[in-house]
Amino acid sequence: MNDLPDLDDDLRSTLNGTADALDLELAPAGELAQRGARRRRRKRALGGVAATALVAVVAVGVVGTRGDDSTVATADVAAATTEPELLPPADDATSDATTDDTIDGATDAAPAITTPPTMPPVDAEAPATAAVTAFGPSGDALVAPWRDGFIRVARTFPAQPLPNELPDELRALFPQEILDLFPDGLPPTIDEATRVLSDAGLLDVVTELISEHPELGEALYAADPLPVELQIATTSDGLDWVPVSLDLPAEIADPTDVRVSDDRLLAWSIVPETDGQFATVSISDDLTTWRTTTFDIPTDATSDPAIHREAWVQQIAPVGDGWVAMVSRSSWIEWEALLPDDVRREVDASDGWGTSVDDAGIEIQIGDGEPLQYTWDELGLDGNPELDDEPTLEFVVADAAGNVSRHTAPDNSWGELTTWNGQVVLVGQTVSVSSDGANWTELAILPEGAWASGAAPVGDQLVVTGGDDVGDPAGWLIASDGTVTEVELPDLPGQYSLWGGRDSAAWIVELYDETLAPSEPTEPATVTFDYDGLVVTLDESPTGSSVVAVDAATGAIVAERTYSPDDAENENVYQYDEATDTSWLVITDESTGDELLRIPGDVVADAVSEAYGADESIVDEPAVEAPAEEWNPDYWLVATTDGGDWYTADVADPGPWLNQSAAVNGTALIFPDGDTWQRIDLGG
Amino acid sequence: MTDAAGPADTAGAVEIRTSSFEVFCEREQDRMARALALALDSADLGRDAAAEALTRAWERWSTVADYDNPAGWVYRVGLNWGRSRLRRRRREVTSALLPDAAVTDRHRDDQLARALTTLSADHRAVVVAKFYLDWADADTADALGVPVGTVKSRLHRALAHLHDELRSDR
Repeated sequence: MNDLPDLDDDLRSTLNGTADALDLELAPAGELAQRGARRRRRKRALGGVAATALVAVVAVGVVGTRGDDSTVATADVAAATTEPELLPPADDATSDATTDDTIDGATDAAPAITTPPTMPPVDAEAPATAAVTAFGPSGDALVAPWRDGFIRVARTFPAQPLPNELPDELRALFPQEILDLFPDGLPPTIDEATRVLSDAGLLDVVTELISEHPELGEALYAADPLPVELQIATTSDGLDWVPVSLDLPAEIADPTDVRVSDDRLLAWSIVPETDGQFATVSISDDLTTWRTTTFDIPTDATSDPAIHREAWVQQIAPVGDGWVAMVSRSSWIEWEALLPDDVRREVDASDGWGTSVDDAGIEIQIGDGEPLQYTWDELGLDGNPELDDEPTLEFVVADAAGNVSRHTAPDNSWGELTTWNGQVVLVGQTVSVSSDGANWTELAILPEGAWASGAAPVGDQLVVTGGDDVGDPAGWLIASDGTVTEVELPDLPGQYSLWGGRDSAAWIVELYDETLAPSEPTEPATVTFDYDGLVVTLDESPTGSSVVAVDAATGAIVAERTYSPDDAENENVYQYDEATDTSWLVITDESTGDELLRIPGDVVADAVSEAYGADESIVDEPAVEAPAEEWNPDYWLVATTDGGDWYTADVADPGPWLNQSAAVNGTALIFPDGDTWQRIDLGG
Repeated sequence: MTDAAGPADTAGAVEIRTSSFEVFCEREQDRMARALALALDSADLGRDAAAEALTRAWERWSTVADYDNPAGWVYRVGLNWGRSRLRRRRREVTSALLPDAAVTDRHRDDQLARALTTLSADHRAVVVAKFYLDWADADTADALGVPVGTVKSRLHRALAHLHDELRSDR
């Protein structure tokens, strides 16, 4: 009934006019189905095992004045299945079998997901289209596209040299059987001596001697280590490699890091000097001539010796005829240095200690002793210095002549730097481009809730990798006009992330399973309390957490909900009303989001405190110790030339430089495996 | 949860359900997104809320499709999800809530549009349901999971509030 009818037509007109004017870019039905399919995979991967933190959520109420109002950490849980799942499940509570990808009509249900051309494992028989060729030792090296081929930049770390002789008093520490192993004096390196000792079964003896006599270790390691050497080779076809004789400027002969991007090699060093900290950057596009620039990265020394400010060159990418460096500044506090001398000595002598920091001050827990609390004022500080000093970024730009300029980083500018279409691109949740490193233009924004971890050019587009709003791996193609298109990343037998700004879209990834190892529940694991005629039970167990509210009079269940780590609503369980400074435990229906129950946070906090004997520490983050298992990581190659079709291959031993050890161009894909490199012919 | 297929879960049945979901999406997605944008006063949020609600509908389509008004279910889930996101944004953003994204901003010169922004979320939801979605009160009640009397009450209060706003604006 509406007794104010005169507004009806106006309301219809206004609402329809407003609605019609909206420019909405709606996702196709198939895209929604794919999104739902990914969630189903994640839920199925959980296998019903949930390890969530409802009690921890409640603990926020207990210690609510300490931190953020209601942020609840949730774990992203992997999809461990590999089969495509394009169709709606038959029933929410029953079958997954009907999602079999063999069902005809699947492509009618949703836009086709391109099945990635999975390459065979490199140790398997390879078809002609995936010729695998070994071409020499891999070692610690990065590879990248270079001109029409590839470049390999290897850093070799020379073995630690040994002194020719040891002083007699140290020599006398060794038993004769060890001295007999080296009748002509010590070998030139520690590696060689270790090998001899190990072969003789006497390495443990020497290790124990060094442990008992630190002066012996100091003598053995007295010689300065030899500098890191860069070894570079190039190839036009990925098969024949030509070593390049390098004549690097002395300042970067032992570089802190190197990068190859857009047919240029950058090497840089960060050197602390007595009058400050400096970074030296050398850039070359022919591997012969180098342009070297040094700039200072001041650390902003503070008057308080306990407060440390640090600066670091995070990334460098070429831009124009020069380069742009992302320089970060951050601060940290050396808590121990602030403590009274006697407490500091106690800390130094203890086997274990921990700190808890909040706006009020610091709490020190030394061993099993009573926690010690100090306000910031007592420590001579004006509040928590770290909270007041967030890490900051600036861009340092050098032109071809070596002129250096400094620029404030655009907002939200933490991200991956790479080059694309002749520009440098900064990829975070926002994708920004710059032709000079100083002036940035926002080109695109990833979908809300999405995050970027990696980026690489693919043709005239940019592929961005990261995660979507529910934590699943996700990828997007960015066109030069800023259009963002979601791409389907390949399914692998485990979860993975593609990290780092690259010059080509090839990654070696280590698969992992983020399903939390069940932890032993803290005691008590169940909290029960009365509220408004209800008996409410909060329960945490190794398989999940739940809340059940029962009508005290009738025994009827009024609200019931079980939470798993991937439940996006989990973070709304504990709600904080800033206006009234009140908090609530809110239970919603899993499917509809309808509110089922709302309990004042104080009531919950009191119940938890009572159950836990007011010992807040018990609900702070109980240690989770996964059972010790043999570490046997599974590595895979993931690469694409267009963002649509992805190449994958199981890699037995990719070496230590995971993030830079694979590269792809139009004709070949190369990556390390074991002691050799592998090449897949793409037939381009 | 079991992995066993139910007796009706044949490939053909799945195809029918899939097709049914697509048809539903094509018919309702745009309308739901615009309705949710109006109800949540944010075009982006409305679009995302519709996508989220439809994704959830896909996940349990065999159940939702049997409802008398599946769009009502989507509207309610979208509203719940959108409000949940708004709560989170309020925590994350200290400044005014999405001033640039308010769908009624472009109609600031329209008194009624401006007045609509002053309605509470619950009142706004029933107004949009009645005057944009053209749902009967009973359908709105069913969609929002509240008694019909509550819908009527909210409508009455909402309209009274709008009248007051318009009077004070003159």
